[in-house]
Order: sequence, then structure tokens, then C-alpha cells
Amino acid sequence: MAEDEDDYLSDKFLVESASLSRPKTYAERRKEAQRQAQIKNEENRLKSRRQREQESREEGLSKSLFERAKEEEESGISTGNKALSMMMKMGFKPGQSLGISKDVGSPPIPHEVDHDQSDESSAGPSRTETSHSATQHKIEPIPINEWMGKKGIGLGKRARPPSPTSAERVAKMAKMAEVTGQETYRDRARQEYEERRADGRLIPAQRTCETLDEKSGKTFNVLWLNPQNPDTFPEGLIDALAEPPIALSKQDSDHGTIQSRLRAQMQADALRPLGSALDEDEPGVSLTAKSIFTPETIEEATHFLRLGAQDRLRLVLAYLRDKYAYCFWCGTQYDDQDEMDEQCPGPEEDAHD
Amino acid sequence: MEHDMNPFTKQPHSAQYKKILAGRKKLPVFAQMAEFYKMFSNNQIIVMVGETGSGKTTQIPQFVAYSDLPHTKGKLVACTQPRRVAAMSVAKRVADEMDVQLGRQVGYSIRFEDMTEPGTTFLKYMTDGMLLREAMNDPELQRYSTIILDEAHERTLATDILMGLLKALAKKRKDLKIIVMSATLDALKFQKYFGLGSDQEEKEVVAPLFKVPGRTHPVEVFYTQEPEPDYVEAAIRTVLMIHRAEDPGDVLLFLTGEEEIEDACRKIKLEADDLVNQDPDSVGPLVCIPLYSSLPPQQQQRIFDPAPKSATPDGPPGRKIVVSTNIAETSLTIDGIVYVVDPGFSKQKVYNPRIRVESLLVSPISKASAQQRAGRAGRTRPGKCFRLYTEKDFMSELEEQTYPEILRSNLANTVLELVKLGVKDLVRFDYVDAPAPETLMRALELLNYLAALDDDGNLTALGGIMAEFPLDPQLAKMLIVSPEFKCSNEMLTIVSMLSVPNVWIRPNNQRREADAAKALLTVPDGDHLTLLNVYNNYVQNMHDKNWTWTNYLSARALAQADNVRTQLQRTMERFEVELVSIQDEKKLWFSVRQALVCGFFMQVAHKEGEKGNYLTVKDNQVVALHPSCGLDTQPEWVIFNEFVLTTRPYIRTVTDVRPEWLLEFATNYFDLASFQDGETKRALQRVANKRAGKAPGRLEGSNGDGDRAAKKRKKNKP
Repeated sequence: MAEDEDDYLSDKFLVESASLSRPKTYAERRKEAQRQAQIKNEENRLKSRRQREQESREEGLSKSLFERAKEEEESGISTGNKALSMMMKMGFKPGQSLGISKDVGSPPIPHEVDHDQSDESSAGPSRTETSHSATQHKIEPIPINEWMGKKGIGLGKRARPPSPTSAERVAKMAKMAEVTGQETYRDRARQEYEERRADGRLIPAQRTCETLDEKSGKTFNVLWLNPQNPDTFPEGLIDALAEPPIALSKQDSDHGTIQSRLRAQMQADALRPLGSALDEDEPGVSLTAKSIFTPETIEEATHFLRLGAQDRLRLVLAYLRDKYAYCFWCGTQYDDQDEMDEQCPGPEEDAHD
Repeated sequence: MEHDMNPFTKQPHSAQYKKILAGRKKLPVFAQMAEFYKMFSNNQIIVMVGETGSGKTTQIPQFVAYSDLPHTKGKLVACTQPRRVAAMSVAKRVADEMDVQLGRQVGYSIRFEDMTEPGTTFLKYMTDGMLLREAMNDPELQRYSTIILDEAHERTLATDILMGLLKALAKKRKDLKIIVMSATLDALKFQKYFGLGSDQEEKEVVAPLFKVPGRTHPVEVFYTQEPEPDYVEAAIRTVLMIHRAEDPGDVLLFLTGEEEIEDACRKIKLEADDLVNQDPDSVGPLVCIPLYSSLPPQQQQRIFDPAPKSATPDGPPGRKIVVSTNIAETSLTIDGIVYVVDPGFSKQKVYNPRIRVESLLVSPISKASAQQRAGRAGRTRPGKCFRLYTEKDFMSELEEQTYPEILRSNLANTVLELVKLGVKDLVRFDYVDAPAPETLMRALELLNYLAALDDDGNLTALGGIMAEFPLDPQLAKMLIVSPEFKCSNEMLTIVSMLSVPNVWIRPNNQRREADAAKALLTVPDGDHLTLLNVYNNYVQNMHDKNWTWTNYLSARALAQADNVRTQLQRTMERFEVELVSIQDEKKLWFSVRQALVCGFFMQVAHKEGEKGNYLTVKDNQVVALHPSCGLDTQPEWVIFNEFVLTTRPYIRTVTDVRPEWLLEFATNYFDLASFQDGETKRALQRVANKRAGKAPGRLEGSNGDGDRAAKKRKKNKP
């Protein structure tokens, strides 16, 4: 808005008021501002149709009807879902499956707790329950997988996935870590400078990511995590990642030196998602952690935090480009990928000079 | 069976009977007759496994009939089939085998067609859906002595529900016998399901298994080295490679749908003709035959034609290529197939309750399906199966089993049937595989808004009548309320047209002509009205086949619609739903559109912006009008019959409606307080304000939506 309003000392005003027969009233100016806002809004809405179709579907598929019913009730637009209350009267509890469980007598075990807190952005609608044995009844609908084109089996596994799966991202991160490890000592000094620079860039980039994600309905994304800012960790995740002070305090004190990097790396490497020992020691903590975060989320977070700032920045920026057609260097959200391809000079910072 | 006299008709056996009997004796299942009788008489429930072609579908029901002698007790033996065509053709075959007339001792019953004679028929083939409907009014299925569920491996929705019902019924009716027949070897699941649980020693007692070995030969399986960039192109190449290089023997190629199949047939034929021209001494003639379910029956029969003869007496032998959807996977046996080409795909139904989309999507098949397909190559002699994917991808990319239909379907209809037949607890119903809870939630929601179920989940009087119509609940509701709008004749037609396959024909090479013909019949206010118009023109033209031909309409589908209409009319008469019309066409169309709202108010979309985008109400899905839609403008509010995913999310069969109608006939669903903020809500709010200004106090709540008419109708009754 700030750029739309001219400085009151600007001579533009003088000229304008001179040409106008009478000065604008407050109401008129307000109307004008509203009109401007509406135009902006309209522009935002002119995203490519395909993108909007995709987004609305992803959003629709990612939220269970139970979550929806709960939200509607909380926001006061419904007084409880009738269908759900019918099911409750029949003995249903959200999170359970229907039917009679295999072992006669005992009620079905809620074998997967609500994942409204977990990383839906990565697993999204592609979540399957292959890990559960065949005798278990489904608690979630089968995800919709569209096979694009005529690609054979082994190629087009969901030609246009909603977003890379958790496993794919973990694989990418692991590869990045490996490449970093192979670099020679000579590069290190430059590297460290770059790292610090990237560190600085990462904060606004992650903030943008968080804003856009939240706008599209995501409650959590691993890419928001900043080891130097515990506030970016949702409640319970630090516990789930075992010892909280991993890189937090260390990097604060003398971040940037090789030793600290190595130490952080070693500590990070020692992390394993949800060690079984932890389960026994602190049942309370691990239970909440487990219920909120899927093992994939925790693994992904572990991998993400283990990467250097440059790599993390690269991941966040790539995600913004792929998902929101947003270029950090241009500072612009494009209507769709095509427009970005046309108008943005490229994914690298250098291209923007 | 060896007697000269037919025990059922008391007539001497015909010569044909003896001939058929000789053939029957060669069936694998015939050799195990004694074994079957022993197991059948000692057990209430048995599970049977036999390959397609073992004779189980035709023989086992006859064995049972000879054992039960149902006609002496005034009972019947039922054998269910997932497909209508199978029920009809098998019944015909069995009638011949038993030397009786079809429709008398042996008959069939499918939706909209009952070919039985009460009191005479004792062996009835029927679709699984029909048996489920019968159970609605006869929950103990008292008229049956034995019920055979055939093709249970297909796990259709109705078969799955029947298994749940029969399992419970078997405890109540000790005299009822049950046979579950399956073509694949995963029978253990059924054995466990119908087992008695654990005995004292904690050992699981499963239902006994009767197994008929198939007459199969070994099949050698080949995989590709690399994934294929285009499976259709790879499939065509593979078929031609087989034709050029492999020994004589027919080929079965699996593809996903009509268009893909017709296209592949054309290409294979072209390429093969080229090969023959280039090298007539080593390449034999080739014939390519498509097979899919929407093909007319006579054309489906072509798959049984023999392979073409070689062009010259000493020339290379001819070859038959059948290009089929997965209907050739289990249910049909084509002799002479030696080679199977399997790209690994089929069209599978999906339903997602979160956005309420129901579609057929091309998806990778399961490992079980792939094995079944390979098995098709070993029917006549040792065969080969060419899988157009790598062995690694076979292991890692394919699911073990195809998801049963109950996990991929909208359950509104099923839930209404279950409630009607007295199943109170849908949560703890003993499903073989339980559907997702959200699917049940959607079904209950719809039925409650339609006022078929009250808020406690009890069937209402209206719901009881709706269940009697063999239709989706929305359609049934529409029919029942239509007299209120003085358009029940028209709604009956529209519902009938919506219950048959697509009536429009659009041949590849005559698309423009077909579209032009369609435009002449199109009513710009809505596709539902267009369907009405097509049917009315069809009747005016005396069901003339030439007329349908010149207008690019399917005579078969229209004849079917006519038949469906007659059947539904009887149901309407039975429940005293008046058949009325208005003379003035303009007013009539208005009424039709209003009546549509009473059934489909939960399938409404609102236009958003100027780009032709629509947003589905409450689910907020961005959709577009399907290209087949005949609306001449883009109205602000539309109701749609289907929300499908094809190349894009589309709504199909769409009609323009007024927002006032939504507020008036679907007060509960369009309760503005229950809407999320957004363009849709604002638009409705504007309409509501206007209405409130004009006619205060008209917005009163009622028990269910769209039931104004039903109430009035009830009141009219003495």
C-alpha cells in the first residue's frame, strides 16, 4: 500500500489538486483504496486455472471430514455434524476404522492418530497405509492418484505429484549432505562466507514460505525450521528430535567455525528418529511426539537441520518456485510456472543482477 | 442326469441334452462331483476355488439343485454374478444344459429385467445387486435354500455386503447353505472370514475349501529391461514382434478403455498390413478384435471367431489379436490365446468422500491382476506373457491386491439398502474390508439431507419408499417429489435416461457431424432437458433405428432407457406417485429444473470470475463444465449429475438453476449460517436478502430438504 500513496509533500499533489475541480473527500479516497485493493485481489486470483484446480483439490483432499466438522463447529458455523453424531451413536470414534477388528472381542485399535499437526504438505493426499497389514480396516479414504499420459509403470508414478513425497525430499537432502562432505579444504573458507550469507537470506525466505504455506492451509512444514530460532519449532518437535540443544546453543556461541560445524554434524548424525530407548524412558514425551509427528516428518526434519545454510536456502527457494511460482530474488509471485519461466531470469541469485 | 426323462419337466430328454452332457463330463469340476456332494452336505458354508473355465459357474449350481431339490420345497437356488451380461448368458447356457426353457425352471434376474416364473423357477442366476435388493424386503432370504456367491474375488460392492449379511444370516438360518466361489487362490481370506473364529485350543477354524484344479499350462513371463516411455506404443510394437517372430497362437493385449483400444486396433492393423505386403512369405494375415463392455453383444461375440486362415495353402498361419479391457482378465475365457501382452494398467473406479469425486481413472494394476492376466496365456497350451515393465517395478510399484470396490465407491445407495433391511449399526457391521469412515459419513449426510434418514439414523417413511426404487437416492427423491411440480412424466424420462449408458455416439472420423446432430437436439437451459428432448423425439419417431442412426444416437441405449422407464413407472404406480405433466413447454421446463434441485441440491456449483471456472458448493473444488455440456451460456448457478476427473476436473450433465430455488427447496443444506465465508456465501446472502424483503417468513426450516412435495403428498393420502 505504501508505494501507492504519495508523499504529502510531493508536488504531484499540487498539480493534481489544481487540475481537479474539487479536492477528494475522505470517502472518495477510501473508495479508491478499496478499488485498488480489489484489483490486487483480482490479480491474485488470476492464477492459472490448472494451478487453482490443483490447489483446491489438494486442500480438499488433505483435510478429513472429521477435521472439517471440528473446525466448523469451533468457528461457530455448525452445531455439530449430524452424520458424525449418527456414527458416534453407533459407537464410532474419530480415528477408528469401521467394521469388526480381527481379534474378536476387543474393539478396533486406533492405529493411526490424527495427523492434523503432522507434515501433510509432504505426504499429502498420496499417503497410503501400505504399512498396515491386510487385515486392518482403512481409517482414511484411498488417495486419488492420477496417472498422466501414457508413461509405463516405473516412470510416471503420479506424473505431477502434488509435491515431492517425504521420501523423495529426504533422498535429495541426503545427496546434498554427501556432496558437501566431498569438498576440499581449500573451498572451505569461501564456503563459510557463503554459509553466513545464506544464513541471513534464509530468515526472510523461510518467513515467506511460512506465509504462503499458511495461506494455502498448511499448519506445518519442515522447511520453516530454523535451528537458531526455537520459535520456528512447533511444540513437541524438539522433543521428538531428541536432545533440543542440538545446534541451537552451539551455533549461537561460535557458529561458523569448522569445529562447531563438525560438532553439530556429529550430534546431528547421532540423532535417530524416535529411538526405542526413549520410548521406555519417557513414555509421556515420546507419546505426544509420536502422535503429532510421523516418523517421516521427523526423519525429514533431521535431514533438513543437518544441512548447511546454503543447502537449506536452496531447498526453501526451490520449494517456493515449484509450489507457489514465487521467486525469492525477484520478490514476486507469478501467476503460474509458465509466466515465471517467461519473466523470471532464473533460479539463481546471479541471474538477477 | 443319465435318465432319459427330464426330472424337472417330465419330458424325454432331447438329443442336444446328451450331446451337451458329454461335453460337461469333460469339465474339471465334473470329475469331483462326489467330493463336492460330501463337503456340501457336511457343511453350511463352503469356499470354492476354481479357475475360469473349470465349469464352476455352470455346474456347481446344477449340482446344488440336484441335491437340494428346491422345487419340491418351494425354494430356490440363487447364484449371483457381478455382471448383468454374465447372469443372462450363464442362465441361458444352464437352461440348455438342463434341457429346460430359459425363464421357467432356470431363469435370471437383473436390474430392470426379471426373467423368472414364480413357482416354477428353482435355479436363478442374478446380479449380486439384485439379491441385495431382494434382501431389503426379505432380510432372511427365506425363499432360498442355497445361495452361491460367484466371482467373489472380484469383490464388487454388492458381493462384499452380501458376504456380511450372509455371515450373520447363517447363524439365524441353519437350513441356509452358502457357497462362496472365487477364481483366484486368495481364498484364505474368505475361509477365515466365514470361519468360526478360534476353537478352545486357540486354533483358528476356517471354512472348508473345495478346490478344482484349473486346466492350465505353464506360462513363461518376460519383463522389459527398462520402463516404457509410452505403454500403448510399446504394446503395439510387442504385438507386431510376436506376430512376426513367435509360433502360431492368438494374442491377448490388455489396454484401459474404448478409445485407447480402438486406436490401438487401427494402428496394429495398419502396421501388420504393411508387414504382410513387404514380406508375404513369412508374415501371415492378422485380425484385430476390440473388446470392451460398451460394445454391442454381437460385436463382443467376435472374439470367439477363429483366427484368419493363411493366405495361401502353404503360407504362414494367420493370427487373432484381441485387444481388451480387464473384462478379459477373469470373467471371459477366450480359447486359443497363447500370448498375453500386459502394459500393467486398467481403468479403476475411485471415490473420495472429501471432495466427493467419483471417476474411472487409469491406474497401475495389482500383482494379483498381473498374475491373472499372465494365466490367460496358458489356457490351451504353454504360453508366454510379456509384461511391459521391469521385474523390479513389478515388485516395488504394484500393490498386492486390487482394492475392493467398497473402498472405492460412494455408499449412499448401499447404506440406504442396509438401513432398509434392518442393519442398525453401520459402524460395527462385519465388513470383509471396511470402507473409510468418511465415506459412511458422506452417505449418512446425503440421506439425512434428503430426509431418507432422521437425525438418529432411522429410516423415514420417505426413505422407505426411496429404497424401493433401484436408483441412487437423489434420483429416487426427485421422482417422488416430481408430482408436486407437475412434471413426473418428464422426471421419469430424465431419470431413465440417466440410468443407461451414454446415448450419444461420436465416431472418431465423424465428430463434426455428430456434434452438429447433437446441437439440433440440445436444449440450452440444461443437459437434463436435452436428455428429455432426445427421448421425446425418439418416441415421436416411433423408436426408429434409422432416426437414431442419422442423429448419432445409440439405439441400444435408447431402447434400454425405454425399458427402464417402463419398470420405474411400475414402481411409481405401486407407491402412488402420480404421473402428471403441464402442457406449456416453457413452464414445464421450469418445473423440471425445480424438481431437479430437490434431488441434487448437494451437487451445485457456483460460477466464479469470468473464466468459466465453477466452484462446487461447500467442497470448494475448482471445476469446469464438461466439453459435452450443451449450455449456451455460463449460468451463475448450476446443478450437476457427476463430478469427474478426466483430463481435468469436470462437472458433467449440467443444468442452469436459480439460487432462489436452492434456498427454497433445500433450506437445510443452504442454511447460510453453515457456509464458510466466500463468494458463494455472499451471492446466496444477496438472494436471501432480496427474498426476505419480498416474501418475509417463507424461509422456514423443515425436517429434510426438498421434502415439501413429499409431505404434501402424504397429507393427500387418506
